[in-house]
Amino acid sequence: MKEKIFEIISAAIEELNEELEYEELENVTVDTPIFGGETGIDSLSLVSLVVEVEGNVNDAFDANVTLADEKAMSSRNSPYRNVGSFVDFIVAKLGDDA
Amino acid sequence: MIDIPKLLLAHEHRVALISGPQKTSYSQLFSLVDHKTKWLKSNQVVPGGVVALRGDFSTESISIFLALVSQKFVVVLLPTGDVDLEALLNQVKADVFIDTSSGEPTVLHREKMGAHHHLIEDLFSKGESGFVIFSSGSSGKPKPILHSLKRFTSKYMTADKPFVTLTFLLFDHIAGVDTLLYVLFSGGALVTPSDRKPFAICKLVESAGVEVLPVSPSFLNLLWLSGDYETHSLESVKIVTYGSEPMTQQNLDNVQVMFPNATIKQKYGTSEFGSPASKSRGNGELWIRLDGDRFQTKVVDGILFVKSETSMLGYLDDSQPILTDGWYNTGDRVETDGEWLRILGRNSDMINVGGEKVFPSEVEAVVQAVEGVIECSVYGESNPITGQMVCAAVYAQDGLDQKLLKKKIKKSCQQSLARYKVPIKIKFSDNPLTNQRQKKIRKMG
Repeated sequence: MKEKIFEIISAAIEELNEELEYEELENVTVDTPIFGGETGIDSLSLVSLVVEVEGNVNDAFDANVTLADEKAMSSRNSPYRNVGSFVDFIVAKLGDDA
Repeated sequence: MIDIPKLLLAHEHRVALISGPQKTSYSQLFSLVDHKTKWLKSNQVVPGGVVALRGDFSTESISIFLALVSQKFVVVLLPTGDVDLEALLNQVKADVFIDTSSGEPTVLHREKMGAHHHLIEDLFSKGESGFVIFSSGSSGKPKPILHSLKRFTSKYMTADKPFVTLTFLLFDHIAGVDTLLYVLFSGGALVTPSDRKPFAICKLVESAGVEVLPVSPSFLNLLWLSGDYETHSLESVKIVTYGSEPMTQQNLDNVQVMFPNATIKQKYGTSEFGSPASKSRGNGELWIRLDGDRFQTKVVDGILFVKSETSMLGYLDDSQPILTDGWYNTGDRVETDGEWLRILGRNSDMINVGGEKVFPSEVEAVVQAVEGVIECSVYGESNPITGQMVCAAVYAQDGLDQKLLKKKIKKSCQQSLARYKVPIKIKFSDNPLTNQRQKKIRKMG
């Protein structure tokens, strides 16, 4: 499951990066930063990425999870920090949904 | 006329501006304004004119603004971004256009378009200066709002808290002008950011020792998500203010974690009235009181009405504000608890994306023009990152590749709209939208 989610995120980042052309977003790994720090994307790109991944995750796993909710906002460590944390967050969400 | 040079010299030994590593004292700012006054003259920009100014907060734009308002000018603060500049300039009959957005300021004299608006002529006949800002109005059509500098700043005569303040809010917004003038009247220092991302702002707060952080709920949200507040020292911050869009309790709780020692204060304002002094009932509360002897409020049928001595002189497009016995209807729904108010927002189709307003009709027009689209309805959906996001329901011709069409729609929107207006979510409908739209398909987020 983790691999599939990673693929979905990395495909969404690559698509987003077609416009942005950020060097740090090429060759996505679990350590690729998403939001925060000196590099990474801005808030509109983040919203767009989360919505895109949400749609594709729900299609792939026949699920109905929301990836931007109050829970994501309350956590001390944001799930959107990097690709790895986003994968873990989605795995947990799908677990709750099942 | 407000004596700007005297105002600046009153604080001559203090720091007025911090821009990157560069610090400008009030006496240096005085010289810069003097220099700009001569520069305007040498460029044949003469008093009695309407001058449109474009650019973010910078030493350059601030000194030009001050040079203009120390004389008989009306300064029009132009929005940056995807605006029809020519239409705005025509609307206010600008005589001169000064652009500071890319380094060296440029001066463009425009063809005379007949007499100025009578409110501007009245102001000039009293020997006063003023400024104009555009509000998005209720339909999305920009409305030019004229303020008298003297009237607007009368509330700052007692400003006595000289804080190091970040100019996070934009120069062309009422809240940005408010920050600028309050700080200069109080003798505080303005810190101008060149980048408004959380990391850059944290770095600036740390290096400049920012004490007042006037920001938006969305920014506070992003700051939390970025985690950048943990890797920087934000201890200098004494006051965090927020406004311009709804705040959630979750976000407010997070703000208290990020700024445990700061006073957290909600601001409320409109382009017509500026923002009065306000007090939050508690750091973690959404209840506020609008103070100030020059500002009165009342609530009728759950709608907030205000009356103020520092309000605008009027709209320059001849539309009239909704006034009853001098009370202005803000259109904002509020809850009350004794003297405390809770702002609930407006009943409208408007979508608020991180404080930026989006009107569905404007986006619909662009989507509608894409080949293959039969109908489109744009609405806001709530999103905890930016408050709301723009979504579009589309009814398209049969047999089209939806994925491809979605890309085409996004591309077309990206080309002609500001980024925050581009629909994030595009949903295809199997049925015409007309019926649904009549039943108000647009949902409140």
